[in-house]
Amino acid sequence: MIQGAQEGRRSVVAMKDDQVPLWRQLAGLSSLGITFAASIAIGAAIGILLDRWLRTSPWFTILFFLFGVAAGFVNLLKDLKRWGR
Amino acid sequence: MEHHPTIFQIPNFLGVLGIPGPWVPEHVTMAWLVMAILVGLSYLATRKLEAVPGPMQNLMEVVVEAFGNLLEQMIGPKGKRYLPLIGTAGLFILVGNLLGSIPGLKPPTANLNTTAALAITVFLSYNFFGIREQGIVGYLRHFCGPILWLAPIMFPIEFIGHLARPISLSIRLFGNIFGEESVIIILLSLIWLVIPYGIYLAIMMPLSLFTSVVQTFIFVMLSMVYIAGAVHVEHEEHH
Repeated sequence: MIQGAQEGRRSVVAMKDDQVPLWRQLAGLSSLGITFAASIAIGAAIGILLDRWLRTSPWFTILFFLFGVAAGFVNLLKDLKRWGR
Repeated sequence: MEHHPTIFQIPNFLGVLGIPGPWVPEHVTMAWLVMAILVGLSYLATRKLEAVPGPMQNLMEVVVEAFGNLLEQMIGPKGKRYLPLIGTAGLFILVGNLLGSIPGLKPPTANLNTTAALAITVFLSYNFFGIREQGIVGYLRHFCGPILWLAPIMFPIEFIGHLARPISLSIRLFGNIFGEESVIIILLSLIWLVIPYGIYLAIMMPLSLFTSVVQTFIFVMLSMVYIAGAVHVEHEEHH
């Protein structure tokens, strides 16, 4: 009796197996754009701060901006590979 | 867009710490309210535990089991270790988001400070879990990519990519909830009579309930993905 109730409840709670990948995709894909933008912004911010600290004006900004763009694309490709089937 | 205060406010007893204003900030009050609700529910549910659970205990068991199952599906058999972090974050965000549907209350997650606190907690935690599982050298080796001479390039790229995660987590949650709140406030102040309330009840209310649940789910899901990525050694993809 109790066992049956437990089983019944579990089947309500556990999402159907074919639904979980869909929700995972939703979570993963919904973060693509904002992660891309945030990567570039963070790269530029690190570069600007390093330049201000070391007084080497444009160099670190340029370097880390490129790193940021690269990070954005790397993440984009990784996420697309993982989620976008 | 006038400012609507929440129905209850706490006098600012933290002024000595340098927090300005006559009242404790709204999102902090609301966050405390969410904590009080959760603590109260947990107390009611676990006050007397029984083998055949009563309604309260049953509800909480369902909720906790749901998080546990999700963790085991995402991270693997050892996933239940991370239940305290994920469950707390998930319940806090869910109850916080749903507070927005109660007139006179505001969701604490409609403020970037609250969501940033959550996202930074998740960020520090998954890095800690990764270091705990693989050791600091093993974990940092992940950042350097597979090819040795590319390491000086890969390291900053991976580093920036990781730093972008808490930002995207916090801004997405904040943006969705804040935007939804703003739309509702503007809608209700557009015209008088019953029209905006009809629109609110017919469209915005279901929409906001949906966003609340989906945003909670996305936050929890991404946290799990990050923890799984940090804990596993380039986790095996099972499609």
